Amino acid sequence: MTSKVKSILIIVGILCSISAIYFVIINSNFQKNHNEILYDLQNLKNLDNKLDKDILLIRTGTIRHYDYLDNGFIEIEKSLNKLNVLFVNDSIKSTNIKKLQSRLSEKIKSKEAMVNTLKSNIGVLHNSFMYYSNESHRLSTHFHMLDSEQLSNELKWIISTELPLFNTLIINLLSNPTSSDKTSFSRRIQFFNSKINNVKEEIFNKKLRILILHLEVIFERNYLVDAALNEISNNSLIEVIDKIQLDYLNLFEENQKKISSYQNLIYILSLILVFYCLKLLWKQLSTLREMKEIAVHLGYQKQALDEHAIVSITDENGIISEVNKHFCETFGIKRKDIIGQNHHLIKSNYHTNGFYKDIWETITTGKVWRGEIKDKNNDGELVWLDQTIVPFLDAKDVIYQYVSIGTDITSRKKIEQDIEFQAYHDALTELPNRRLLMDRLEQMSSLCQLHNHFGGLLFIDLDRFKTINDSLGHKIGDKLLIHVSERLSSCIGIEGTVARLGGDEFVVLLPEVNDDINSVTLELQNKADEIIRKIREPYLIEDHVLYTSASIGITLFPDTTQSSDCLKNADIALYKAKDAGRDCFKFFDASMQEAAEVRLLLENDLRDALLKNEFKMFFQPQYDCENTLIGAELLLRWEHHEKGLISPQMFIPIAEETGIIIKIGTWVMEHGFKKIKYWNDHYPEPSTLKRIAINVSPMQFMQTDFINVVIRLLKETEVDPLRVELEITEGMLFVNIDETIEKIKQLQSLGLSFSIDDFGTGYSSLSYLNRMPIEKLKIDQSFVRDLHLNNNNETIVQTIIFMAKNLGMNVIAEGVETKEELDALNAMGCNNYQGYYFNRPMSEDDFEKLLNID
Amino acid sequence: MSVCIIINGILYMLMRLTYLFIVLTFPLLVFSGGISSPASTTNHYKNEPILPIPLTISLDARKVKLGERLFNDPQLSHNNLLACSNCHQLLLGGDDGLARSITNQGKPDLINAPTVFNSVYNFRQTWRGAFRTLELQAEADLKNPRHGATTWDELLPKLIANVYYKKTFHSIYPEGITRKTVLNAIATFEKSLITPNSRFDQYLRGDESAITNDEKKGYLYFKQYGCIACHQGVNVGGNLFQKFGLFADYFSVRGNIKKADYGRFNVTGEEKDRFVFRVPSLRNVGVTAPYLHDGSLDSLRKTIEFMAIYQLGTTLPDEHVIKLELFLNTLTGEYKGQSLFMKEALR
Repeated sequence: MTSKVKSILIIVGILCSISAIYFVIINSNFQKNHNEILYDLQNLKNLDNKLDKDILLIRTGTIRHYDYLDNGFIEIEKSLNKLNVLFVNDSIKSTNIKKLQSRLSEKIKSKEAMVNTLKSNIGVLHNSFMYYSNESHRLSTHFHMLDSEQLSNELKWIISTELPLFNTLIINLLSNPTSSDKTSFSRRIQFFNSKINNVKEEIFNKKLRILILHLEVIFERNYLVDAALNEISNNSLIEVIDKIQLDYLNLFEENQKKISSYQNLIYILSLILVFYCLKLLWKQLSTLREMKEIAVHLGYQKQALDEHAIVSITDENGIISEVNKHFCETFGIKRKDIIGQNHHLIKSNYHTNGFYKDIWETITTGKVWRGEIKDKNNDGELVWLDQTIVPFLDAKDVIYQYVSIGTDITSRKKIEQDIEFQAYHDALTELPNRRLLMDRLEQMSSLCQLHNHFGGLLFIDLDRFKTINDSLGHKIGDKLLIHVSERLSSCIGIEGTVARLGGDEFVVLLPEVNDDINSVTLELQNKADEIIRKIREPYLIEDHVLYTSASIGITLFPDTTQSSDCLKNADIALYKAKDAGRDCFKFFDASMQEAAEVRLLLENDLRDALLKNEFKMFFQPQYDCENTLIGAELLLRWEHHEKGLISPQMFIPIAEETGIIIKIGTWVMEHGFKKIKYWNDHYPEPSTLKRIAINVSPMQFMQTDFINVVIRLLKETEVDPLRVELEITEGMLFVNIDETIEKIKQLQSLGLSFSIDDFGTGYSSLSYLNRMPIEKLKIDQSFVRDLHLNNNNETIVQTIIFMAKNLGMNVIAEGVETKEELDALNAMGCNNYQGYYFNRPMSEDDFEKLLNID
Repeated sequence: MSVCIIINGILYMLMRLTYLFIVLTFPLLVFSGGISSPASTTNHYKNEPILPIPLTISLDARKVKLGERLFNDPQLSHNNLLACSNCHQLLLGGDDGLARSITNQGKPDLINAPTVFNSVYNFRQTWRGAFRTLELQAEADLKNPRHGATTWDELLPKLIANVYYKKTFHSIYPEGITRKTVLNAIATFEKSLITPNSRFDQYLRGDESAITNDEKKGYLYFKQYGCIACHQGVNVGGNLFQKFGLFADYFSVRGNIKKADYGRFNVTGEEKDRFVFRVPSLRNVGVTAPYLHDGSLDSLRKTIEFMAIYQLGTTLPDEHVIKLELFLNTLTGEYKGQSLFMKEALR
């Protein structure tokens, strides 16, 4: 049955009930009214009856006053008014009854008028009657008191016969109105009247005439009284009342029939509805039974679920409204503590915010979320849950709660992680195994390819490990391997990967070392050196002091496409190292190997170069815009006894790395100062020549005794400090700003001057530059190159010049090679230059010639 | 829903039962005492046509008090000058002792003011019997342009504005001050204006010594001459209409016939009612001079002689008239325990 039909039935039922109540009320009113109407009609009849009775009593003289008569009418009127009201209440609209009612009212009114007439007539009648009877008696008494002789016969006759006769006639007239002979009474009066004329006695005559008058009144009024009574009796109210009653009862019966048919209809409808309701009730009961069964089953399921799963229920905002016992046990939280909170209480930091956002987005769109979440319990231990979150929608499709069901999968996760770890790691050292290594190698290769960098792969094998293993046993051997792996790990740090391939074979993977193959080679070489040194250190294992060494094969990647080849190449290099007598490293690539060897040679030769006096000073002259020599930059050249001139790019990094640079730096300063002193003393230097600039390497500058060294050299050479300019690089300024500033200031106080070399290439923090007591900036030659063609460089140079001028610094451009560059710089306000446009760096002798020319 | 149905069923049953009950008990109700006519009052007094005035009348004392105030309140007239009590002075026999009362314009009215005493026992009020009830009479006089000359729209706000009336009316009548309640209060007061315990009433109640022999003689003449035919009942009249001048035409004798002289004709418009008046009550007749509707007679004796001529067609011996007058004076009753009296000056 559709809900529409149901609601219609319900409405019909309610209407039936209301109409039933209505009918009951109406019916009881109706019955009450009916009762009262019948009573009133009967009362009207009774009142009329009583009125008639009273009229009769008055007529007969039984009652001698009229007080009750009017009360009768008042009561009739009251009763009639009540009847009218009752009829109105009963909503009786029968015109017939209305007509009868108004007829009744009229009748009552006319009856009242009749009664009033009757009353006055009876009054007059009684008045005359009483007068007559008393006066006739008085007259006869008076008569008898007189002397009868003197009275006329007529009077005697009248007194003795006529007056008594009339008394009888009157009584007859009054007592028996119908049978009396009215005409004879009237004739008798006429006869009496005629007799009176003969009465000579004046007093009697007059009195008799009055009596006759009264007799006439009696006759006349008696007739009127009779007529009025007749009229009253003919106009009985009862007849009309009966008609009203009859009409009303007919109407009532009709209404009753109607009502009872309505009642029957409602009764039938009610019965149908009762049956329908019983059916519904039955249905409801059976539904209830089914639901109970379902509830029991659900109860079992819930019990089972609670045993198995961690259940929590939250409202639409994620506020927890219910958790089961399992939840509390798992998280070690009391139920009362978690209710009203949200899940942040058990949230671990394992997942990213995005993870939680994803969950929230899924469930807030009404979708079920399934997945694994890592939470933490009250003690901070992590708990893995396999979780299902189900959003529940209300009738309007709005989410009102979420039910989350989860199972604790922490142990499984742990096993999974263990298995995964074991799959990718070596069981003994817990270092990545070959599989993981290959993975990483692949990743790094692609990364390096992407970034155009090089990484290094070091294949390490312990020398004579088999001997240790065999002599001291596997246990010791394993422990040694663990120690080795620890040392390797500490060497490499977190950047690289140390993997054990098995046995005593380890692989170190160094990611994205550098983009310059030479630098890479150098770094790898250093790393390999470090490893070899570390491995070489003694091991204390179970009271044994053990020594071992490592042979390393190095290869770069990506230099071949196949990464497996990479490992193979390293292996090949390793065998080379083994062949070379162990405890050393070999590069797979021949050129690299060669470079490494050259480096090694150079390093050795560099130490001897100072002793062999192989370093030569060259000078790069500096000019102003008027092409006047204003100074020079001292440059160092190494003339190898075998290999000839070696560029500073080659040997300076080695010198810096090996620390030889400090000695070289000191040598340069010493010889530079001497040369300046010499020129100053022996040559007529042009006034324009101010200072000779000497480069100071960072390492040298950062030596704590640098100032002392400078002071000593200044004293020894006796050079004029005002002629010396020290060139430092940008990077040095910002290592330890305060200390650097202090050092520069001290040296400046001696008269020395400072300039910044290669300005613009480093990471100068311009905000610090104003704190630097620097006299001069050297614009790097890379900006000067094609300055006039390159807007970007032009802007940079312009900025540097502008800034330097604002800070009160001089500017000099290096690497000026063309006239255009010079003009552009000149136009920008840079007035000092050096570069091939003027001179190439020149030897001491050539510079001396230049000085002589000037 | 099922509840509805159950209620429905129960109601239906109740309805049926009620109907059955009524059908079964109705005849009993009709034919038992329930519908019988009120028992007629039995007479404990002398079997005379005149009945004594009841010593007390049962009324709501609060309404009487309120009505008294209204009765004496000139606010009930348009110009706030005329109270009911102006023409119906309770100390002076319930009228004003004038042939014709003074209107609100200060002019003589059209007709003699009847006494307000015992008016409750009159079957109609006023000379012409225009009003069945005291309420209707009071309302007519309030509106009468010569008397109150007011309207309900004017009067009710005046009364409502009065704190005493507002409070008192509301304490007595739930509906407060309305036409119905104002009239009811006045009428209730007027109903309280009865004058019981006249010497004649005492006689009627069996005290033979209450009236003298001469007075008894007077009553005998009253009956013998037929006066009693009209002047009977509690009020010794006041309960029927009668033509004025049965045996002689008073109005042609008097002349100057005015509309007020037509009497009941003015009410019914029927020729037979011309010169017909309500028979006046003779209660306190000794103190309510002047007499007749036109107030033309200022002494009772003259009036008795007058009535003999016009209503009996004869003259009475002086001795009879004196005795009749003596009798009539025994009808003077008491109001609030005080015998009524007539203003000496007017006598």
